[in-house]
Amino acid sequence: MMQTLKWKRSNKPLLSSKDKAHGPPSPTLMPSNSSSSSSTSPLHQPVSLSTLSQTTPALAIPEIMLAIAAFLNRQSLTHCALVCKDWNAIFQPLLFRVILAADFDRPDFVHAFQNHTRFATSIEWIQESPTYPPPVPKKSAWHRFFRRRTLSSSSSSSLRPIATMSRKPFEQLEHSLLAGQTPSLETLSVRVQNQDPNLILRLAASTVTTLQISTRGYPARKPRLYMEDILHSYPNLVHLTLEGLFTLGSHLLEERGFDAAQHPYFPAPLPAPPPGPILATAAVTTTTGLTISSPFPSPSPTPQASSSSSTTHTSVVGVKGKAVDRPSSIESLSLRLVDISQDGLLALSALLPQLKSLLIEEFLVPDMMIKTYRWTWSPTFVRSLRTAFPHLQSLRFAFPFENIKEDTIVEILKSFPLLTTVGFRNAHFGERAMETLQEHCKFVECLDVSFGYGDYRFKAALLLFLQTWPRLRELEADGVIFHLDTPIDAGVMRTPWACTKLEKLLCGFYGTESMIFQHLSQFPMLSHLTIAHPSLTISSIDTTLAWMARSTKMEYFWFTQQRNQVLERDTIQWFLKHWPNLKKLHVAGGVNEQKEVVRQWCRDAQRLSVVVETDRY
Amino acid sequence: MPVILVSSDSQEFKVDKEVAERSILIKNMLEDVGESDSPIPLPNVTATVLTKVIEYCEHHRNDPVQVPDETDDPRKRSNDIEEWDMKFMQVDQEMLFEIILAANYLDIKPLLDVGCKTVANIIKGKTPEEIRKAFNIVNDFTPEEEAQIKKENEWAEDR
Repeated sequence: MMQTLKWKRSNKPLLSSKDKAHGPPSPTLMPSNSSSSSSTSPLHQPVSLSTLSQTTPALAIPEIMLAIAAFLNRQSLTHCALVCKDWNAIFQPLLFRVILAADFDRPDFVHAFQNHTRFATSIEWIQESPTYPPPVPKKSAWHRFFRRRTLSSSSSSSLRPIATMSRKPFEQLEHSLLAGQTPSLETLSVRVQNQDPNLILRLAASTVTTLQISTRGYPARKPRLYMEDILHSYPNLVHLTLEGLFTLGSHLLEERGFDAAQHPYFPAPLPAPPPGPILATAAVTTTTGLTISSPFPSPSPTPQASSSSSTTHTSVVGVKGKAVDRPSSIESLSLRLVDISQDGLLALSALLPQLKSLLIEEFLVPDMMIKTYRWTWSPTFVRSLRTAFPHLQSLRFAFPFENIKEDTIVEILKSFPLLTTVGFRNAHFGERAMETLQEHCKFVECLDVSFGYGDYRFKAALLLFLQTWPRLRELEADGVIFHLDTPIDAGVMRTPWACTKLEKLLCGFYGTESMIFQHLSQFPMLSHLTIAHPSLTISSIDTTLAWMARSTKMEYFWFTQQRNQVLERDTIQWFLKHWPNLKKLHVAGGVNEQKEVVRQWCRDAQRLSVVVETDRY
Repeated sequence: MPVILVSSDSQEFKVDKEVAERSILIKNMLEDVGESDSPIPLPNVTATVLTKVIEYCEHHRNDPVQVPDETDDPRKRSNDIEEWDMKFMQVDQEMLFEIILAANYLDIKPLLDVGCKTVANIIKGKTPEEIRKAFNIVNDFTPEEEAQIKKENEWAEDR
């Protein structure tokens, strides 16, 4: 096995913005990345200020070196990688940016590749299907980004899909991950096309704490994924996200059969340990891989999966019936479109005793079929859910076509008084549910009641809630339109909302734009704002946007534009000037060509990282 | 309408607004400041370099604004430099890098591209030793390390 270079090791992580410290302050001009929201270059490694910076300061600036590297072919890159240590740090990773299947025919490449992957902290692997004919016909090529820093934001990379699905490179990834330790790898995200998700379990890495498996399409028969197998391959997982048309089950369930009423798999009742301190911190969102708080012991040297993990969680669940391999540390589970039965979910309790956050969602992607969960949501099930996962603090359900009845919601809310995040989309979240929430779930900070069937009375209850619940930080109420133009809304007197710490808001309004923005100015902490109704023109900034000059934390703003109305440059410039943290601007409707124009304005203002989106439809 | 730019060594340059606005940085400054005659300080650019930059902007004052290519092809062409630009870039290496730095700071993408392409063309076809000589870089690898890297990257050599 190739010996790793000693100096390379010491050069590792702790990637800060140290590399921006030298050279004149300048916007990052990455030729290929100007429109992506996150830096997708495999770079930003610390480049030490060496003699380089004295002789040719330009060469000590990574951005400039990268700009130059964009014009070099692979051979030149290898020569550059040999020039000196600073250059090597920049150019070596670029060798792996585009990989062809034929590369793996060379054993020396494989070695180099293995070394490279071994030190990555996060790997994102996306297998795409071709969406456009490539300009130069290439053999199956894979784009991959190996980031040498912890994943700070979820990113769909701006990878260019090229040609076919060759399994070979995937196998190579697998070999290299298994060939030795991956001491830094924490986040692994793999998306495959028309393949069995079990494939990804072969990448087994015991250091991974955040795992995402996505599939699009599937081979002949719908695949089954087993939680035990996942845990076997990734024993230290904390966050697990599964997306795609496959079934999630457990061997336990299948071997023993399962009766919800008798639940032999549930832990013997422990002498009521409190489920942990009330976390008033950020609600667990489902997409980001959060960095874990506790350090991990170094993984055992055996490359094949089953390293004995010493988890950092103390409560070991005593299980009647079949013994579980090891108690898992998974805290959040997100399932999108994944098929799982009620019994299946309950059976997971033995495997996921620490579960804090659960999201089950169906979403529609143009090329995927609609699915419907057939859960009965009986009171027994809800009670079992409670017994199965006593530590749950976040529950989010979204089923477009299957409605959860209000009784069920009430039952759930009563069973989980410690919930901080509650989400029931497309459900019968009505007045009663709202009242139950206020009465029983005192710690709720995030609420999603979008696309509900709530009526007049629900709206009244929601309004009262907003007027009396200072704790609320996130509210998604797509479909709800609040009156700002009348003193009474749904029979409730309009008074200021108590939730002034609101960070995320999605709803609609009736009223003039001036009223709307004036209302929104009550929430200076807003970072994500979506105005679902009405469509806006934002024509006179002084009376509208000016209200929000203090909302400097704004990162994401979505609004519907009036048809055929052109966004004014002043408006965009106002955004850019007053909202320095703006990352994404989504404009629905309006004139289509505008997107480019708006982008240009953003570039003009040196805000290359602002992503401008419009609807596809 | 003229705009006054001041280099780091306090030399003033009067240029047309249109020319100055090839630099996005200056353009934004002008917009923020509005109608004003006050000179714009450029503390990171010396007079000699600024002269060159202004020369470039004057020549390209009527170029359409570039929209960055969205296709993320990592391998771009560097053999399409205009003749005028090529002559413009025939300067000593120190000046070449100064221009690149200035283009980066002032946010003049076409000039930055030309500069980088020029450097890329210097690098292309050279062995590592030749590259070091070209840029006066000290080799801080031990022979063993160098051999090791070479061996590791052998696969990339024939492309």
